[in-house]
Amino acid sequence: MVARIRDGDPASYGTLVDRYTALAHRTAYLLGAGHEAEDVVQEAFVKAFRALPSFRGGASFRAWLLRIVANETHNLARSRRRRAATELRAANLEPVRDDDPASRALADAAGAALLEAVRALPEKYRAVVICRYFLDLTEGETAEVLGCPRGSVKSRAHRAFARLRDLLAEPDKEVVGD
Amino acid sequence: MTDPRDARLAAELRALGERLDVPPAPDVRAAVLARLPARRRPALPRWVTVAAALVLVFAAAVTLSPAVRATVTDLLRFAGIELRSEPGPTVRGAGLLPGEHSVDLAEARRVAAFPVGVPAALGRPDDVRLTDDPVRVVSLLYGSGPGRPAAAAGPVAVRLDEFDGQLGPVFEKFLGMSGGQRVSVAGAPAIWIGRPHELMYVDRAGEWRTETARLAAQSLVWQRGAVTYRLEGAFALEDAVRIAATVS
Repeated sequence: MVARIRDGDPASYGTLVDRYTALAHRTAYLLGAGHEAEDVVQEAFVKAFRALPSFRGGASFRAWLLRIVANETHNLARSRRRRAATELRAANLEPVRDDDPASRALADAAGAALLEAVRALPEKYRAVVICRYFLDLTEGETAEVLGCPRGSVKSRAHRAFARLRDLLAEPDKEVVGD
Repeated sequence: MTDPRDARLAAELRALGERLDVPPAPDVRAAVLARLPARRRPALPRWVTVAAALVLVFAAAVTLSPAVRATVTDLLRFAGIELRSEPGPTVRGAGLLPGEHSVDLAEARRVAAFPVGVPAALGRPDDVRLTDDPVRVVSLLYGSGPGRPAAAAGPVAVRLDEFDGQLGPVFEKFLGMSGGQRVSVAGAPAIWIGRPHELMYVDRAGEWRTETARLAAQSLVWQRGAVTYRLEGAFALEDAVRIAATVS
């Protein structure tokens, strides 16, 4: 598929866009693009098309694409910071509106606390948590998306977990679990 | 993460991820496609066309070694040519280039866009073939005879392919990929491939024409002026260089 598009067929690129829009949008949104996620996704797809010749067959296309999305999101955040420092990706992790009472109960206290804790993480750690657990990417994919070695993903995840526990606890009480 | 607390936290995070409020994905397809460049054939620099034709020479290495094939692919990809990874074709004893047909020397000189050289050491060719329209390759064929190597199979002892264009910047790369030896023909850089290798034609669109695959003996590749030459026959390097130097 990618090979056919790489031969220069924009029409079949549409199929690829359809297939990956939801994931790309979720990635951009969660990584901090917020309401500008749509622009980021559009820009990322256009850039990805131009960069297709550099995509190595056999590699993970979705990780390759998401890296472009992540970079675009990063650029956006940077330009935004210049304009208005206050707007920094605060409100991107919104608590769910869930109508099922049981899951809402579960969501409420522990979920909200965990969400706050994730928000409070340093950006590097938060990005790893978002990729690994909110986007369900593998360690290798996360490394590619964030443009860092796999070892860094591991160590950042480790530190993120330690930090989350600190933020959530009451050291000996299981605030997050059970 | 072997710590059970880590596993629990990971599960909590995943559960939280499923409950995050992310707005529905927009439909960006139309907007993206509208911004893509219209499809068109990439305009290839002249040397790339020749480089593609000359993949003839190196198809042996390409079909034998995936690593080398990858290099050729990388080399040609930037020119908008994508090669497929397929097992090598069955090699026939003697193949023709697509559309290859016989003409006389005068006709070849009339239709070719480049000067057609003849090696004085071999004299007038026994046959002259043209490939592609407009003509991209002119081939001079020689049977066995005095001062010529013996024909390995079939009636042709020596074949001189003349390509329209130069290798230019990829000459060194081809040298490396072919596993050939760097030599010179009358002061011009040349590549000697002193072992049998597979030839395959790569057409203008960059397609490998597997039906043209055949096994070649030694080849000498060099360029002069705007023309690139490939001399093939069962001769030693010295003889090939001597013949090549007389092309004019």
